[in-house]
Amino acid sequence: MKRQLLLRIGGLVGIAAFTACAIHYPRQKIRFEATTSASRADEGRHLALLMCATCHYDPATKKLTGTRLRDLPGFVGTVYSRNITQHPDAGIGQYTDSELVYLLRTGVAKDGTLMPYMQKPLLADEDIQAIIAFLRSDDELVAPSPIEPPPTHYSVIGKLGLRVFSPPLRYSEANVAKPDTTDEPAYGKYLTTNLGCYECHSASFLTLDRLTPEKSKGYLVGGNKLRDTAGKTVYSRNLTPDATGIGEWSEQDFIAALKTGIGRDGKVLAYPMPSFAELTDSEAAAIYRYLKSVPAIRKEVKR
Amino acid sequence: MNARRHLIAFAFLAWATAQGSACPNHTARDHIAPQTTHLAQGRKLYTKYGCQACHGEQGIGIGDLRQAYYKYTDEQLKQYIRNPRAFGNQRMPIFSSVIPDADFPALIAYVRSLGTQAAGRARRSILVNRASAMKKSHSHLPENYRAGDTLLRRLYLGSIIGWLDGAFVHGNLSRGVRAHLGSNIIADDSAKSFVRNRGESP
Repeated sequence: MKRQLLLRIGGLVGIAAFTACAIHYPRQKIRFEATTSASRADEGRHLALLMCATCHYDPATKKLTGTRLRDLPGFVGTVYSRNITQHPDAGIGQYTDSELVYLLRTGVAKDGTLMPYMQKPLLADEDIQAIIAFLRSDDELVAPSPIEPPPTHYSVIGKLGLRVFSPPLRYSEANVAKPDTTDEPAYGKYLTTNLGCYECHSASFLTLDRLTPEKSKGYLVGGNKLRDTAGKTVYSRNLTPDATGIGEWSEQDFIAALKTGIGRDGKVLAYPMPSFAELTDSEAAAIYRYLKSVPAIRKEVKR
Repeated sequence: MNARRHLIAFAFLAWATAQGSACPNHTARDHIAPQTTHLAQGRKLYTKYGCQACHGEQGIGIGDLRQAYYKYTDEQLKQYIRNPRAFGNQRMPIFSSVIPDADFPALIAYVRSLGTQAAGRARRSILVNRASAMKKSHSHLPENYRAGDTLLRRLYLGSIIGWLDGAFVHGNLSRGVRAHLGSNIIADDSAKSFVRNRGESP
């Protein structure tokens, strides 16, 4: 009896210690050198505005100096995205190309901190090269800025969730190829994955499969519980081609909604859905074609 | 007998009050009521068009709507909301097809009020914190020391500066005044961030 009690107390202390510790992971040394050029930096700017700016852009500084991620449920904690300008201390000025690639592939930063939202294991090598070229460029968005967002504080539940459901990914040396941009469904799938559409529009952040996104629970069916800036709960929309999803949307409706932020019904696509002004019509069309090709699943999502 | 007198007095007062409230010469009330209704309508529209989803209930969230009241004219604000891309904003939805012209005056009045409310809070916070800072700094002095006079003088100066600040919100004087006040006395978080943002060049 006494032994059981001791075991239980020991277990609780163990869990508390496990969650209370900072989330740090050892880093593996890799070699990666990005080749930079002006055209590559332009392409990288386009990609960074679609992928990085949604979290790292601060309208107050008009740079990628990081801001609060207000869409996460309150129980996770208070999470801020980091400054990714070229500032040596506040930003990523001291990151090598290898360290940036390691962070993007595994989610582990230079100091060993886990940044689970950064994991992009399926982003093509050439796109990573382009993004790094942009981050090193003289663009105003990444010009060194000393502004540092407040530190992130995860709650105990948030830390536990990260440790259990979002561990760092293993780094793979294998080359990730970019699909042919004229192959619409394949390119659409690539964009849906790397723009993070499926991350919000699947059942939950806790059941995402980052290596095989279509194995995520409720893939593109929506219903993920998010929140807006005012703290109101927002459920992500069903994106499958069912009538409860985008079944009745035309390609033009879809492209307009993505680029202007206004849905087919004339209502605003509420935060945290970003409006992707930089998305080209062909990119938006590719995403539409891909979404039309996934199985239609009926799911009415609370609006 | 007494109860009867009370009843008569009460009836007379009720009649007088009713006459007063029906009086057409209440210009101040006539002036305030439409303004309040206008703001209430603006608040409803702010919710209806989903502004609070990004900008929060008080205009703080993605971007800072409290800056709108000194950065833009009404017409500029309208154009901004209609097409944020023209102002370099790539994130905000384009509302040109969503908000009819008739809704803009109330909506813009409400957005402006977010800034003036914040300025009021910032001023109050500055005064309150200045007062407490003064109390602390004089706590070691003898009671008969004329600290009270100094405090009153400083508070009086503070209120004049606050008034000037409100009066010249569109000019550089505002920034100068804020620089003069300094940030060490502003404890309130929202006031602090507001002042910091106001300090930036538009």
